[in-house]
Amino acid sequence: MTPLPPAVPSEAVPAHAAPFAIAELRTCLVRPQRMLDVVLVERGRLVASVLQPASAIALAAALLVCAVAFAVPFGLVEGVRRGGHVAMLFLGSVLLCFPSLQVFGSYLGVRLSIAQNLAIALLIPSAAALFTFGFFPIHWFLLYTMSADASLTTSGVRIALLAVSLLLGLSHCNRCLFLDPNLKAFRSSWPLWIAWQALLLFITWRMARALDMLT
Amino acid sequence: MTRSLVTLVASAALYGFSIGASHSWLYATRNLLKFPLLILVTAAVCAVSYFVLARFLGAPLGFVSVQRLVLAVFRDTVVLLASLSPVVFWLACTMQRPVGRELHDYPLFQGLNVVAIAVSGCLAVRVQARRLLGERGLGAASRGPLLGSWMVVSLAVGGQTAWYLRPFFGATPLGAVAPPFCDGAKPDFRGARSFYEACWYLVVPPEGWR
Repeated sequence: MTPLPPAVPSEAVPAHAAPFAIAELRTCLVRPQRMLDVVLVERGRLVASVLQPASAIALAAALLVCAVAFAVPFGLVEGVRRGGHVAMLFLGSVLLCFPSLQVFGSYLGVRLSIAQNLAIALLIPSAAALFTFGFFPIHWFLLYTMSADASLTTSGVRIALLAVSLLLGLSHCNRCLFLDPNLKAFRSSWPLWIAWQALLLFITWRMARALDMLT
Repeated sequence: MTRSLVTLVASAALYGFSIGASHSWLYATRNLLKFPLLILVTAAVCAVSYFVLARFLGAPLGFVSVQRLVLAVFRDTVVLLASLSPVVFWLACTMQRPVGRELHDYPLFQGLNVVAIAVSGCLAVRVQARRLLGERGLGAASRGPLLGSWMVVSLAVGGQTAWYLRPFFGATPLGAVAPPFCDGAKPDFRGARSFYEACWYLVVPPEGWR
């Protein structure tokens, strides 16, 4: 995790950033810490990859892997049986809501392919998964140091950390879309985007209930 | 980094000793270990989240750079606190100790230490923020949220660590049997079973404490 990634000023997204090459995305499998740069840091390149249909497929695949792999440690804190629950919660909810984003978007004039829309949608669970990865030592620590009968219970801590991760994931997706002039289509149909996010939040809550993550 | 770590541990131990002296020599000597442990455990538990937050907020910092920076904030805070150790120690030795339900100077001592910790922490963050601007060229827009988010995470985890490792000092006199090294998850005098519950009880006291 030591090597310094190339410096990208946070306030400015490069106007003509190059999309990620497939080889670069493949590198993330060998060096997972590189995924952090791909998803959270190099926003200009991320958006450029979404805009190029060929790169969008590879990017969507990489985001899918990220959404699963980085969510596992948080789930494992509460036992092997719950190892996949966080990935299911975030990724499952997005995949359930994705068809509606695609269809409503096309109907309202957003001209993006399925892979492009999928890559945008997968940004949310992958960013959220990265945050849960950041929070998993905290979750473990609180679980270890808090008594089981405290009023703020294990589930309270879990819910709070997962909610923060999801909200940060959503905000990251929004800043990618709304700070970049190339994604005007989404910007012009912002009511769709807001409604879809509300739906996603509702489905995530239902998913959490179904996975018994609220108790 | 090693030098930073040694300075941090020594300064934290010194400050811990002086606050513990307000209660007893037992607490003071135990704090030589407990206070550095509080800082180090907090930094270790938060390490990954500091890094992820830094990347999220666009700071061009590697994992080791982030830890070095956080360590610098913690080190500066405890060095500032250590500089107050003579004052704290003197106050600890001369304060009127609690007797029964009469707390005497204890609330004042507790309050002064909270102020000292808050002032030292804020100063350290301010200085490191300036350094970030100078050395790394981070803009004000990312500096504030970065240090702010680190502080929130540190407070949330550090609070629970301190609660778990308590007591560092206190109003309860020593009994015939030495108390355990740390109270862990044992409920406190108000019945709180975690740091967050204890904070909540400060706002809404439980039945019998209103």
